[in-house]
Amino acid sequence: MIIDDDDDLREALVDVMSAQGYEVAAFADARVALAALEEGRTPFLILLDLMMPGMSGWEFRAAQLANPKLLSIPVVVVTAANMVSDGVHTLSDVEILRKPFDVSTLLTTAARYAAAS
Amino acid sequence: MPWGGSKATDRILMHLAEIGAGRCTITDDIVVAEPDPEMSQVLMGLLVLHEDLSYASRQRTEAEMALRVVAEERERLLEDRRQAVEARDQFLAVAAHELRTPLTTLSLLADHLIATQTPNRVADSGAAEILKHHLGRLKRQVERLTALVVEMLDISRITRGHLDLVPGPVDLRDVVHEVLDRFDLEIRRRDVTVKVDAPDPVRGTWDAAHIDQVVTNLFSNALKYGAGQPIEVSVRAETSHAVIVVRDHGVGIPDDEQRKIFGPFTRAVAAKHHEGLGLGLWVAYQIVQASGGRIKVDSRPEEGSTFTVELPL
Repeated sequence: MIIDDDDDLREALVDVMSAQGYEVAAFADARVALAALEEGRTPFLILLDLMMPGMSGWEFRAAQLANPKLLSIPVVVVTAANMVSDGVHTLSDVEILRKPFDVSTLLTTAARYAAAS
Repeated sequence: MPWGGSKATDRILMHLAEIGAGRCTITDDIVVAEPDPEMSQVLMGLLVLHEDLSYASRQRTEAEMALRVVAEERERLLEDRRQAVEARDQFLAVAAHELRTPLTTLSLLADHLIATQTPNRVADSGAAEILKHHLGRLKRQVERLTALVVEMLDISRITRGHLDLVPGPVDLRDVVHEVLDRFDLEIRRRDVTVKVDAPDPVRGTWDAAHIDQVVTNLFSNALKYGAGQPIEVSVRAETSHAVIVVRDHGVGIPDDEQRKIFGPFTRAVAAKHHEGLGLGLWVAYQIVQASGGRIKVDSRPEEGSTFTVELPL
């Protein structure tokens, strides 16, 4: 599952992941993504942007952790934000993929979670 | 007795006291009307003394005012400068930050196109070759842009005083291998031999991403200035610190340049010959310092450079 409000980046992520055979659900709005998860979607990985209008990545993560059915879904935060000054390091238990990254970094990361699922 | 005795002395003393206090009651008329010619001369002298002192005092006041104006102007200019630097740093931070997302998209799409538009997918093999060539060029330019933006972000972080160090468990040997893997294409393109001497894990608590950056900057310099000669990278643990050494056998750095090589926007060679902002060593120096370590260079022109990083264990 990809949650990112940047249309071009989200679509590029979908194209790259789909080309590798992953089934991808992409959302521009974290609230809609959360609803989809609550309705029973169980992705092996969530790629989560942090700075989004409406529900932010932090709020999404907090809501996810508050729901026992969802808290075990691994999250990789995809961000251009600063670790300390923007508070990225306050997120617990997530891997951070710092922008900019290339396809091989993305695919290696995704493959690791796919293998573990 | 000249000037009419003590009465005259009292008069003179009174005038002197007045002059001392910045006043004077002697006028031209009084001087002219003075019957005693010697006293008239003394009064004239006192009048001149008063005028000289008044003039000096006015001069001093004017000079003090001018100094105050200069000081105020200086303070205003300094404040303007502080604000301009702050605006520049803020702009740099926002620009570098905002550029990261579109760069990620560009990088992903370039990689994706290279992977999917292989010659067998495009019917015309000539067109496929041209496409491949252009996509490769596109990818290289994206990588160049990415490196510049990352460098810009580093300088903005350092100048704003928050390097964002998040220390955690790190094996320096892994860091070195990861960096070299990333440079694999570039190493092959330049046909450079890289010898790695890292027999054992070197574990400690540092900020992995930033140490990666230090090694990246040092290795990237070794490639840039190594004149195609072999590059040696070694990692080892000593009693109190870990040591990373990056050695090239290229152009080297003259003695007088070595002192400033870790300053911002410094290059030992002309900028037009080498890309980048000239901040790599400065960034490395700042990161190593913030990590409690040291960085030094040993170099001789035409023989190469050895950069040594020591990090506390």
